[in-house]
Amino acid sequence: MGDQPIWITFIVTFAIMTVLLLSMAYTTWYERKVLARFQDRLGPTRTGKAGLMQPLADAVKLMGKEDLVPDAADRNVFLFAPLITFTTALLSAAVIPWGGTVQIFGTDVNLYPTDINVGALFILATGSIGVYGIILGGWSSGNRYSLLGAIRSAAQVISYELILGFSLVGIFIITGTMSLTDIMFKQHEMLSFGPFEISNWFVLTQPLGFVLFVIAAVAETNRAPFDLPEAESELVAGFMTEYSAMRFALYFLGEYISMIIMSLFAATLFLGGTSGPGADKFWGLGIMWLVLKVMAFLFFYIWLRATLPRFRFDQLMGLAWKVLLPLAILNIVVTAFFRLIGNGQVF
Amino acid sequence: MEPVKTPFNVMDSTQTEYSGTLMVEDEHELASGERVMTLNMGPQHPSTHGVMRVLLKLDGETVIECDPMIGYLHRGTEKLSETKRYAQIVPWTDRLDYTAAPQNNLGYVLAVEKLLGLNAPERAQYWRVIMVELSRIASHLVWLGTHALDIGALSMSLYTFREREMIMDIFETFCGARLTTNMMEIGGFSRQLPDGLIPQIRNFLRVFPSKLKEYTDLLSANPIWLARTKGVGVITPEAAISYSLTGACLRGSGINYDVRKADPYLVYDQLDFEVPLGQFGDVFDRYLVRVEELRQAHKIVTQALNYIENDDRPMMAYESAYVMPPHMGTMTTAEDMQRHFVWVIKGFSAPVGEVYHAIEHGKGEFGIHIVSDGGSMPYRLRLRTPDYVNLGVLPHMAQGAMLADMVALIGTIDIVLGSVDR
Amino acid sequence: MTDGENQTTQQTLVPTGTGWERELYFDDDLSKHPVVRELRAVFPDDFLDAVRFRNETTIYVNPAKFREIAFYMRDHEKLQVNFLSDLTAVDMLNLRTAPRFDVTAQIYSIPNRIRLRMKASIDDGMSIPSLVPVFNGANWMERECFDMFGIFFEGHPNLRRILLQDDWDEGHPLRKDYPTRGWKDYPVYNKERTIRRTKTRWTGRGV
Repeated sequence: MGDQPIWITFIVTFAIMTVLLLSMAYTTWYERKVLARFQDRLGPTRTGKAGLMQPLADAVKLMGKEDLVPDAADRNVFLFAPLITFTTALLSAAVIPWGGTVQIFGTDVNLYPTDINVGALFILATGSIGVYGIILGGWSSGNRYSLLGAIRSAAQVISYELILGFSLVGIFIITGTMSLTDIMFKQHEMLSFGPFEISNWFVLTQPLGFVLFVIAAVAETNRAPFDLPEAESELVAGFMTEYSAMRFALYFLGEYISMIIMSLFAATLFLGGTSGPGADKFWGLGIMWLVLKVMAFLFFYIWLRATLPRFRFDQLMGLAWKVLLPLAILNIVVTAFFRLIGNGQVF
Repeated sequence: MEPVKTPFNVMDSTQTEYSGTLMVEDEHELASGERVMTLNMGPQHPSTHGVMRVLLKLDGETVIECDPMIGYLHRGTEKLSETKRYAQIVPWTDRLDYTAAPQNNLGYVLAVEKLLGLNAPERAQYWRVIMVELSRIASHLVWLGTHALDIGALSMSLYTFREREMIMDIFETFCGARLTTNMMEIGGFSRQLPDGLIPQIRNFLRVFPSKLKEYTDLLSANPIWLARTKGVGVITPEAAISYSLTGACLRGSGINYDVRKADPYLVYDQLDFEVPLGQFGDVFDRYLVRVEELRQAHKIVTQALNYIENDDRPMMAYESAYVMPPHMGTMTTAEDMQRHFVWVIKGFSAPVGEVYHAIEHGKGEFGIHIVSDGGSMPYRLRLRTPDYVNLGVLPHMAQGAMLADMVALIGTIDIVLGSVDR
Repeated sequence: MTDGENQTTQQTLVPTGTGWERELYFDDDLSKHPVVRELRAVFPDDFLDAVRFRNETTIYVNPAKFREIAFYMRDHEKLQVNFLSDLTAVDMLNLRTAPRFDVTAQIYSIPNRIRLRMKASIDDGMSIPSLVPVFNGANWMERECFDMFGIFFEGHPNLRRILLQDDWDEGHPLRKDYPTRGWKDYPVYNKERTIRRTKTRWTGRGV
């Protein structure tokens, strides 16, 4: 983990961007297939083998559509808003580590674009900025459904950002750092219970934090059962009602990138990131473990969507402020207490 | 080559141009200084179950006032029926509640039979019960799927439509059509039962209970479903009676009024079934009532099928002059040919008088009021569709509800716009 | 109720009973019908006639007392006719000279399980008291009745068209003098053919 020539960083960033954009396209395919299986149907089958070309076909279709701007819309804001959501969602990928420093062709390569000491905070911050895209898009559409969706989104993000941040404080107390790389490598250490050795994943020491984080992450990415900003049965499509063609797709992709980023984030913080059998010997295996963990998370997202009804708005707020927030604070207090015991500062 | 002209003026010049200021136009202030937003829910909206428009006055997300506007699908069935002979009206009734066409057929046919003083043979009555109860299951399954979809349980609609498909297949075997069945005839059934019908129904009866358990497993104890439905859209028993509600909307409030028990028609007095009642009159109670009705309908079909399975008595009351003469005779004898021809071309002359016959439709009391002047066409045919009357309670229920509750409330009434608008 | 039934089964020859037995509602002698009996006693001038057909009882009442009689039957402790099944009208134009409309209410007693039809005849342009104060459910039914027949209901809170659009200017379609195709000549669009006929293999003459 040292400095490296900037051209290597460029190559790594480029590779990560490519993988991310591709995987985002294929997350839509993955969701369609998994959801279809939940619902007793087949999902896309006609485009390529097992519908594998479906994302491509979707992209071609969406690009061929007319980009409509309603008369009542605030034109500039309307056109600009989807870009905010999309770019900020991509931006958060900068601090996610895909491994440590490895030797490729005799060169030291850091498998992450950057390692800033407030990495976790950076992801939370970009997530909050991404909501501006939703709020501005909903407001500028000149449609009441969009406006309601935007207002819901604002309220939802304010509430669940808080839970998201608070659920991580326990980890920061344990590790004493906010750098994602440091947090990840802390989890590569092994804990031994007699003959058994298991990885020190923070899901074991922070189970409550993990649960809170997952709930808040689902809400943060506007996925079911917290998809109130775009609740299709009441608000038609919420903030996206007036969007069409590629601008609609940008929101759509932004949502899927956020899903992937949140899954990566959760895997890094709670499930040891790249840690897994063989990951110490070969970095490729570590990436594979990370991808598997992300896929498990995505599966969980889709599972929720296939199973649960949608919350009502007041119930959503009630859950955040009356249930989750007290639990998050409790988690912080308990973790801090044990940390103080560990430091020998009490008793 | 000439340029292609626009066939007609798309935009009328007298139409006022869209000003683009919809957002502020009709907002006004409440006495408390709060701004009220008018939201036009529909006519094209995913949760209005068709083309219905609900004009909402919102304070934030709370509904202050709700005004349902219907009639987008009005086809003038009552007016058209005055120009059709009695037997020709049966297909029109299919198009009322198109999720439960056999029930509409039955309601109409029974009213006509009551006017004529005619009784279908017992076997036909049992088969009518079987078909109607299957159609009740189909109608409730559509309701369950779409209601759950409105509240956000995405997969439910696919599960329920899977079983509904089996019933549609049964209808297809029975009468050749799936949705608009045109199944019932005045006087019974004129055709033989097709081969393979009974095993098909048996198969459905075998599969259905486990599938029903799947639905209730997914919803009945789901905390989000409970939070969304319990205590929402409460109708007190007094209000339910006063608003003339019928079906699950009335029984959900605890009023025991099921036409099958109160005024038994067909052979319902010989069948063993129960009428489920709700307790609190909220959305969840109506859900429980309908789910239990699914179970009871399954029970009724099983009983009726067990009783009638090996029966081969005639299915048509041919002794009556009001009944369409058999087809087969027309091929051999001139008299039968003439009789058949006259019946088809001129119809029969019904007795003078008026009748009202109600049946328990999947959505409530489906009543037909026929005024006859002695001709071959009804002088006046009134369709009392349950959804139309039940929908009238929506403004009452929507007082103070949240916007998200609106979809639950519209869903819980179980409307089909073809039946509401007629 | 059950006591009364037991009594009548025991003493079938002397139907004294309480006068409220369920059989009396279906008796051939209409004067024994409890509703007819009660209304004859209480509204002697406004209760006009009672007709029985196919076991259904129709009572004809004075339109001015339409609502009052409905109120009376709803609040009567024995009759309890508390449910309005349906409310509509029949245009009697072809059947008699005057009055023109029969406003028909199908009312029902949920405790007694008795169906009843109440009719009041009014002429075109006359109004009839609205039943909304008695049954809330009459609201939409009367709106539809106004929409389809142009009958005015006095005291209705919101009497406007419901199934047809608010600016429908062709009158009321369920009246007997309203032609089935409507009064207006609707314009026929696309009279001149803008797309040339093309021969197809199937038709030989094109679409």
